[in-house]
Parts: sequence; structure tokens; C-alpha cells
Amino acid sequence: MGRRDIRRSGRPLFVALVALLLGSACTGAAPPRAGTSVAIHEHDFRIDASAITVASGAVSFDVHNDAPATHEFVLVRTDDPDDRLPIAADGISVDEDVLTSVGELSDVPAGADETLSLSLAPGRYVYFCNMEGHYMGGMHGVLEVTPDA
Amino acid sequence: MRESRRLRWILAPYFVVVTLIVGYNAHAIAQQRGSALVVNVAARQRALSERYTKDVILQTQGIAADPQDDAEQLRANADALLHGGEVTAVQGADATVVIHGADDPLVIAKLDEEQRLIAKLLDAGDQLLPMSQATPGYATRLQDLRVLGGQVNSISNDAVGQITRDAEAAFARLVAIGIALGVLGAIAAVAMGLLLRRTAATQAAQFRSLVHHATDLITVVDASGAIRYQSPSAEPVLGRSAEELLGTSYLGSLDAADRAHLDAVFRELAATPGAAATAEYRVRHVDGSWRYVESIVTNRMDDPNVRGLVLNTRDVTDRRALQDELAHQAFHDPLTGLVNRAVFRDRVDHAVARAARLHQQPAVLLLDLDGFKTVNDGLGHDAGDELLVAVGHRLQASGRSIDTVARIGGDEFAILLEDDARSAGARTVAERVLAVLTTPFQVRGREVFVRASIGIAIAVAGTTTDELLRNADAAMYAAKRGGKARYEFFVPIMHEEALAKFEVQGDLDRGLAHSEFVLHYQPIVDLASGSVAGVEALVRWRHPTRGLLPPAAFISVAEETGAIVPLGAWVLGEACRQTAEWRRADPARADLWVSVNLSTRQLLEANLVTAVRESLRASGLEPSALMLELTEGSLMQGITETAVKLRELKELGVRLAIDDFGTGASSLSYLRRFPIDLLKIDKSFVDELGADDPEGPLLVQAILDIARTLHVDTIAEGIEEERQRNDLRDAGCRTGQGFLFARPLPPEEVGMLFDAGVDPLEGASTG
Repeated sequence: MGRRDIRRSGRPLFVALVALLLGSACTGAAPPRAGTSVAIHEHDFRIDASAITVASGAVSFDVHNDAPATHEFVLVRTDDPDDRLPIAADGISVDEDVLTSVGELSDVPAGADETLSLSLAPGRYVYFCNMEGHYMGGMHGVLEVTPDA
Repeated sequence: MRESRRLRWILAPYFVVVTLIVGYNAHAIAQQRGSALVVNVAARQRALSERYTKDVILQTQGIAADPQDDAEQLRANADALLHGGEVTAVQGADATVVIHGADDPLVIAKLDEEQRLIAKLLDAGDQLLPMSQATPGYATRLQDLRVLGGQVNSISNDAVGQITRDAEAAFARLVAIGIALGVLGAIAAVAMGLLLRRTAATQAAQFRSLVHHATDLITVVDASGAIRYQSPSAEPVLGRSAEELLGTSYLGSLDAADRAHLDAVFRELAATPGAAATAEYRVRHVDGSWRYVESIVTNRMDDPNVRGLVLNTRDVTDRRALQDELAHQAFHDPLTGLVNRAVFRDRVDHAVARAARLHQQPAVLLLDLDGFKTVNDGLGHDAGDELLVAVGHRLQASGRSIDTVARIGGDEFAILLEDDARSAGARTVAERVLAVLTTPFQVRGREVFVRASIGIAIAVAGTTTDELLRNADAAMYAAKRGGKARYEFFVPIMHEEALAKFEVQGDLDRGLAHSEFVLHYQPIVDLASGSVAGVEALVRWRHPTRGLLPPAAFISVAEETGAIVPLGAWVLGEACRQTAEWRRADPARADLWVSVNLSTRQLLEANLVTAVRESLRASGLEPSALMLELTEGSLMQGITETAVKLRELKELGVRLAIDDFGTGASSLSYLRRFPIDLLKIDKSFVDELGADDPEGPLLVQAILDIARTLHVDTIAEGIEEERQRNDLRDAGCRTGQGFLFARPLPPEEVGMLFDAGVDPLEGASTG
């Protein structure tokens, strides 16, 4: 909730810095090897993904924002259904504090392409946009990561 | 001129740039203000959306709220943000403000989305409003409303972010352009400054060039006179370059007197900053010549750029030469180059003043040339001028260098013996002058003789300049009367004579003007018949205070002053007129003739013949009825010219007689050259006839013999006794005049005499 407030108050540079630090924390150990790419298209208000399962290891999410609004791309590991994630006090946003964030692009401007590269362990993952009203508006999806073949 | 044009070229763009900057800044401020309003309105959408959601919920819970007002504002603002227009003011005094529509496509996309979401939000609100918490599906509808509210908030934030970024970018551009313009302005300002500096430098260079090329010398000296700056124009004046002169003393090229003077000027000026003075002095050229210069000296000790005395110096040598020439002309006789009367007088003044102090006796010699007029009239004025120049040279050569020789009038010269003059000194000078004039002058290829009559006056204690000059003048006239070519020292008696003469001189002019002169006539009688043959016209002066004056009282003065010329002309005219009248009045007097005396001066007059001809013409008198009497002395003056004139008179038909014959030193051979008709035997010879002197008749006889030899007639003058008349008649003299017959008489008495007869013989024979 604190992070959201910061972003809403119009300090994108600071948020981007925080996001970068978080991103590095998650991806810093990723080995530089070629992995799977997942194409993500964000709309008002849904997220289309080019795959629903990928092999574990290096996965890069090529996020393209097709909407006029700015969106984010948050990936969490959870066994909850993607439309039953825990909701925060505002009643409409996902409570990220109780979830394990694997990685995120906190600010994908309208029309922009951004890439989130992660090393994913096998398991069930949910991605969503947690901007106000966007998750409940329909911006979420599930990704299964299977063990290496 | 060129500089000011260049200034305009730089000033114009500079002002354009400044105007642009000011205009652009005004535009940028307006732009920023507009952007701020848009951001403000856009940011308000989020608050409005939250308030709408809350108001709808409150309404459904039975609490009074006005979600429709929020809805309207949301809709209106969304529209205004997209297309521009009026919106409710958030702050400030205005009720509404006008904002510009969006032009960034991204902002437009976000605002479109916002508008769409707002529509959905209001739609959701509309569905929820009729419900209450008890209504089935209320929770779902409420959820939808809140989600849509969140989405509106989100997109609204998004739009505000983008609008703000755009505004920031626009502002950055405005600032960049403003800075660019500022830099441009600064460049223009610097350029203008540089140009102004260059213009000033150019002007300074022009001034320097002016100084360097000016003919005036500009010199800066310190108080001691050492040269600290010298303009190059010094070279033509001093013959030394400015570099050579630097550090030297300005006073070095001056003579002692000028140096002391200019040094004093420097010292005086040095005490007063800003003071100025002028000085004229001479400077020595390297070649040794002196140049006259004029300086304006100004104290510029106070001026940090100068710190010295500035001399603006001009070469005035040419001007001085002209002044000297004019001064020379003012003080010198242009013909002879001798000093003129004014200077001579001034020198006499000084000599007289010095004499009183030093017990000296300055002397003045006044010279009047004898015979100059003959040359001037006979050979022309140019010849006369030539003679005067030559005389001037000889006079100057004959004097000592300290003596002043001056030409003070037509043919009058003067010599001042200033110093140490005794009468022996003045006498020596006078004799030397007479000696140098004895050598004939060569004028126009002819030998010309001139002599001088010299009057000498010596100053004694208390003599004034006027007295000294007047005394010399009186002595000079005495010398002339004494026979010319001689000198006379002034003695006081001369002064009285001179005074009397002076008186007569003034009176003569007045007498002529007032017709105070009259003619008396003395009959000239045929000694054989006793009849009146002719008359001699004799002038008398009816003086208003001195009574009737005979010619002896005034003729010599009239000769000297020249008054004889108009007087003689009048006599001639009047005698002719009267005689013609007598001849016309009585046929018995039709042969009457008149004899008129001509003075030496009249004989020398160039227009004598014309004057005679005119008198005859005016009176209508027969030329043969006019006889002109000349003295031997006057005939000897300018013999050649006189002979010519006499022949011309003869050709007119006029008769000529020699007056006072036998008293002068005329030579018979000369007499033969003149066309003389008659000799008048002087009274002194006639007097002898009555004096029982056996030689008396012999002298008269000798004269009569001469007359016969020359084939001329005779008239005996001053016959007072019958015996004299008889002797003369017997000796062969045909005519005579004298008291025996009649005294000179006024014309009316002469008329009566014609009728009564004058023959004493007749009287004697009858009585």
C-alpha cells in the first residue's frame, strides 16, 4: 500500500529506483543463458500472455502495453486462483504484502515495451496489474512453470 | 558618420532581440499558467471521482448527498480537458476559468479512456443509487462502482502524470528558448559593447591622427619645461623630430628674453590647474633661422591622462612678415622707402625728450628741392618720382646712420640729427647735402639738375617738437628767399616773418573765394602822340582789414603757396574781359591793348596756353590785343619747355614782353631763342635819365640798341618827369608808362581818362 501511495503521489523516478532494486534482488542471480520468452500484452483491463506454461529456468516476459493507461506487471508464486488473491483494505487491490513477489515491472507506460527477465523455479505463478481497480477490472492470469525437460 | 551608421546596424538587432526576449517571456508565462490550470483540473478529477463514489454510497445508505453535481463536474471537466473550454475554478477569485484542450496524442488517449471510464462509473452509480444495502445484488454493484472509481482514479492520475510531464517538457523548452534568447541578447549586448569600444577606439585613433597631422604643434611639458610629449608636426617648424625633442627642455630653442618670459608663464600656470595663457615668441630652427610662433598654454596637471602643461603652438612667421610689411608701409614713404612724416615727427619727439635729459641738442634740417617742379611738369610724374627716389638715396648716403632721413611731403625731405648735434654738425650735414646734389641726376636718359633750400633749427632747452619743426620751416623759406641752393639757420625774426606769411597765406585763399581782388590799369602812352595805346593790368587786394594792398604785399607768398595760379588765371580773364569791353564801347579805342604779368609759377603751369586761349575765347578779345609780361628770371626756368610754350602763345597771336629788362642776368643769346615782341625798360634805368648822370642815357641807349638788334619794341617804365619822357622819345623809345601820365587806376577812372586824354605834353602845350 505504501508503494502504491508513493507512485500515486507522482514520483515515478523514486518508484522506478525501488523497483529496479527489487528486480535486481530477484534476478541478480539469473545465469546469462538463453531461456523462454513469454509475450505479454496489456489492455484496459485484461492481460494476454503467449503461453500458459513454460519450462523452469530463464524466462523473459516481453511486456507490451497496448492500453492508453499506464500499467504494471507483477508476478507472484501462489497456489490461489488468479481471481481469488488476497485483497487489501481498499477492497479492490491485491494485498501484495502477504504474497511472494517474484518480480515486477511497476510502470509500463502506454504503448511501451518492457522486459522482465527472471529465473523461475517450477511451480504455479499468477501475474496481474495492481493499479487501482485494474486487478478487479480483469487484469490477471496464471502461468505454470514445469521442471526442465 | 560611418561609426554612427555601424552603431545603428548593431543597435537595431539588439533591440529586436530584447523585444523577442520580453515577448517570449510573456508568452512562456501565459503558457505555464495555462498548463498549471490544466494540471489542476486534471488532478481534480480523481478527487471528484472519489467524492462521487462516496456520495453514491452515502445516498444508498439514506444519507443526503449530491452525487449528480459531482457527476456533472466529472463529465464537464473530462470534456474540457479533451477539447478545451470553461471549467469551474478551483481557486482564486474567478468563478470559472478557460483551459486549452489537449494536443498530445498520448494525453488525448488517456483522457478518452478517462471519459469512457467516467461514463461507466456514472452508469454504475446510476444502477446503484436506486438500491439500498438490503437490496439483493447491492454488494456486487457497490463492488463494480468502487472498481470503476478506482479505474477512473488510476487513469486520472495517469493523465495528470502525462500532462505534467508534457508541461514540464514544454516548460523546459520555454526555458531553453528563453536561455537561448538570453544568450543571444547577451551576445548582442557584448557585440554592441565591443563595437562601442571599437568606435571609441576609432575616434581616439582619428583624434591621434588629427593631432599627428595637424599643422599645430602639440607639446606636453612638465612644470620645468621638459618635453613629455611632442606631436610630429614639430619637424617642419624646428627641424627636429618629435623623438629627438622628447625629454629636452622646451625652452632650449628660445632666445634668452623669450626663454625668461615663457619660463615665467609656465611657472605662473603651473600654480593653477586649468589655467591658460597665450604667448608669442621665436623658436630657433635647426638651420639657425628663427620662426615666430604663438602658443596657447593650458595647465592639464589635473588630467590623469596628461599631467602637464599642454602647448598648442602655431607657426605665425608668415603672419608676422605680413604684419611687419604693413607696419613698414604705415611708417614709410612707399616711393623712397624713407620714413614718413609721422615717424619723423615721432623720432623728433623722442629726440627732444632725450635732449632735456641728456643735455643734447638735436637738430632738424628741412629740405625743399628747387627745380623739382620743372622736372615733374616737363618730364612727367614718373620722371619726378624717379628723381625723388634718387634724391632720397643721396640724402641717406650723406647722413650718418643714426640720423633719420625722411620724406615728409612732395619734394620736401627732412633730416634729424638726434644725438650730439652742434651747429657745426648741422652745418656740415647741410653742406654735404648741397654738395651731393650738385652732381646732376640721370632721369630718363637726361641730365637733371636739382638744388635744395635747407632750413636748420636746433633745439634748445624747452623747445617742443612743434617749435623745432616750425623753426626749420621758417629757416627753409628764408633760404629760398635768399636765393636757393643754400642753407639758413633759424633766427627768431624768421618766425615773425613766417607768421606774417602764414597769415597772408590763409587770407589769400579766403580773398580768392570772396572776390577781394580787383584790377587797376596803368595807361601805356605813345610817347610821340601822347595818346593811350594800351594799359597794364595790375592786381590789387581789397583786404577787409588791411585795406587796398599792392602786389608786393602778397605776390611772393602767392607764388610760394601756389595761390598765384588761380589768382593769375582770374587776372588774365578779367583783364581780357575789361579790355574787350573798352574796345567795343568806343571805336576810337578799337586798337586798345592790355598787358598782363605772368609769374614764374604760371609760366611753369602745364595748361598755361590753354588758360590763355580760354580767356581770349571767353572775352572775345583779339589775341593781338593781349600782351603777356615775363621776367628774365622766369624765362630762365626750364628754358626748353618755356620756349615751346612761348611759341604756342605766339601762334595764338598773343604778344610777349620781357618785364624789368636789364635787371636780371639773362643772356642775349637766350633771348634770341624766345619769340619776344617787346622789352620793358626797368624804372631804374629811366630814373637815371633825370639825374644828370652822363651814363644814364647811355644805358638806356644800349637797351634800345639791343631791342633794335632783336627787332623788338620797347616800353619805358616809371616815367615820372617830362624830361625823362623827352629823352626816351628822342632816343627812339616809342611807348612808356609812369606817374607822369597816370597812376594805375580803377577801370571806371581809366574810362574817363580815355575821354580826357593823358598827354601832359598836350596839357603843357595848351597850358
